[in-house]
Amino acid sequence: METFLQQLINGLTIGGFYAVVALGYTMVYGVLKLINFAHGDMFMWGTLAGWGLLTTVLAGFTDLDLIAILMVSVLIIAFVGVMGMTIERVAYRPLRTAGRLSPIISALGAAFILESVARNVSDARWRTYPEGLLKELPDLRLTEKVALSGLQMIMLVICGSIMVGLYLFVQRTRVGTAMRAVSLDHNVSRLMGINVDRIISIVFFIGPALGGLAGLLVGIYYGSFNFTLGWTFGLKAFISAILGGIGNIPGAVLGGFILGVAETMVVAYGPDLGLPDASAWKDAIAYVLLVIILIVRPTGLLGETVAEKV
Amino acid sequence: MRVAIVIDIINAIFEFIFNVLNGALDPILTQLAEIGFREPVVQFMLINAILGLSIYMTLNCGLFSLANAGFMAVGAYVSVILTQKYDAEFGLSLLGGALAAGLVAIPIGLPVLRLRSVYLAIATIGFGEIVRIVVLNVDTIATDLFNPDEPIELTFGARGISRIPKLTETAHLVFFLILMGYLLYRMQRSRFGRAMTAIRQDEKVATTLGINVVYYKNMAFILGAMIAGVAGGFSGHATRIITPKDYGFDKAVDILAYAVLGGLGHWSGPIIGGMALKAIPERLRYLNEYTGALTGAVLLLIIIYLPSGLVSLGQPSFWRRGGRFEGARRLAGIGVALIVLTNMLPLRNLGSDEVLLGLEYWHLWGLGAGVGLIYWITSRQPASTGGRFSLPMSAVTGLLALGLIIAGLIGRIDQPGDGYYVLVFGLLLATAAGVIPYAPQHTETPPAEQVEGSHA
Repeated sequence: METFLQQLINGLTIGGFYAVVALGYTMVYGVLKLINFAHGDMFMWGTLAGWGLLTTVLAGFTDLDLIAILMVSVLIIAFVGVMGMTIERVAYRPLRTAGRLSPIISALGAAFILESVARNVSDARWRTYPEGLLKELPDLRLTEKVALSGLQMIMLVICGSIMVGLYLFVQRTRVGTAMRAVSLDHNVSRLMGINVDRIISIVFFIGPALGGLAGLLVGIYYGSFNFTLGWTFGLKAFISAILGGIGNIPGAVLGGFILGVAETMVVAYGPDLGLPDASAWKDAIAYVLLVIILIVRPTGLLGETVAEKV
Repeated sequence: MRVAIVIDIINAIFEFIFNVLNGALDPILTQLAEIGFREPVVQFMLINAILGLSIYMTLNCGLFSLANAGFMAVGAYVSVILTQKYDAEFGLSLLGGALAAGLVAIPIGLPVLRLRSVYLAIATIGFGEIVRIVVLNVDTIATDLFNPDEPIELTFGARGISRIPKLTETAHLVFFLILMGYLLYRMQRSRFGRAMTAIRQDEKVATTLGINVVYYKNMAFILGAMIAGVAGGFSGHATRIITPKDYGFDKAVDILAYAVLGGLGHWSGPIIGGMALKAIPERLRYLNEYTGALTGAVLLLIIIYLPSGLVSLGQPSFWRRGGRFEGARRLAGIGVALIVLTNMLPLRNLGSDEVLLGLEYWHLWGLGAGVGLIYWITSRQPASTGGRFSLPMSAVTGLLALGLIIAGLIGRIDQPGDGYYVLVFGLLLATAAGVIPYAPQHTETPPAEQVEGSHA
């Protein structure tokens, strides 16, 4: 039971990251019906920029890691958000009327560019974040053996507030209402006086900005990264979005948590169930889970049934 | 006894075909080698073309499946194990790979093909990743299960299988591609092909016309899997080493890019796209660490200006269609094509190492800034004015861009050659296209059901 609780906490933390990145996929899919293959790489740019900025800030400006992280996260939100808007303008807007597959390829082109530049910036090596970030925070002991470390607590709080904040933003504000309208129908939204292009730009700011922020958090949590993080982690996040039903914000959150928890549980309990090398199989099991869920619920857990084609 | 004779006859026929093909290919290959595409590169271009065809089979049926990398892995491993462990003949091992991929496709396809669009895509990606992980771990599992004392080594885990005999010849690939091209050409005009097109355009209507949608979807899936399996076999025997990570998510997405870049309106699209996507990075290889970025940029440019892929350049309707946006696209299409061509062909007598698209790096920044500026200003135009440009604005942009481009070119003007003029012309056209604004993004977005390439 105690192992279970501990693994649940670990899984929820990882799931929180998946969920925040998945939000970007799901929002973009909601308004444009487009798989934004560049999203994972923008997330990775968040990690990369966080590494560069944190090292600089901690070396030159302040010793307090909390303040440094706060400054850096504001910068990253601006940087990755603007990156997302630029990519939308350059790669997706000209193709808005060109069918469903062409923008996927331009997304891929953008992803190539981002990844290749990131490879050069990081010299294609594993990079490590400064040591001891947020390490002196007190752990929260739940029982004898189950502890929520300070780092995990911060991560969970940040991810949770992002999710709740985004949900409220989309549900309660005028811009959020406009986003929901655009995701239903571009033309009718235009008739209602919504500037569709602007809404799409906003979506492309918020999604990547949250992704970039998640990138920073992932970097702090794991401590090291390399430029392929965008593909691997991005794929997981994308799966989370699909699992919950793409286009649906609570769905993405649910999918992220399910995936994160499932992965950690497989690693924790695999050996007892006869999988000696469980960490090698954790991805496979995540995918099997995904395929099974999709077969049972073809549009994800919370997705609506909409008829559409490639 | 009789079987042996039949095999001999078949072998003799194939040998004859390959001899003839080799004779025909030799001059082409030497020519290609001269402009920087050596035989291995050409072989991979052809393999990519086959992969493009494999995904075209499913896309042509309206199925957004990304399982082809997984099937490629199945084909590659099966055929390599057949040749290496059981000394099978190359042709037979390819057949074995194809059959294995096809057999795997049946149980995958039946449940999964009910899914639509992204859900299908992600389920098939999931399948591909499962294949990769299984290949990675099958040795340990098999050892644990059957034979704990003596390790079973079939796929060699993450190390992969190495020292594979190099059996793939260019003639084989060309022969297979010609065969596939012919079959696809015939298929598109057959009952089978028309049924698939009908399903792609509207599944419900297809059902009401008495088309067995489930059957055709599965057939397309299985055929695509088999083609991917053959491609895997070829690539395994061309690289001489295969590891599970060659067939991951990124490969699956690359394969999609082959088909879409080439264009789905015609069966030759995936072939062209696959070859182009190998040729472009190869040609840009001298940029070392910037190759990936430039490949991405070229991909982006091509798809922005030719949303229906490279084949639309060859379709009369593309040139006939009216409208300003179309004009811009046409111009830019030619421009970009010319710029790429000057780099791909030996026309580019403009130096080699520090030069990109015939320009030195330094000048390229100016060029990039110019193009970016044009883009920025053109896309600033509000949709309500129909994207019309005011005259002063267009003059300013045009002059600025021209100035930047001329500044970029002037460094090379001392060595004019054919390539230089072609390049200048291409750049001018691309600039002109930049000055013509994008089409008004007016009210009618095509409905979500709009099918890629079906109107072409």
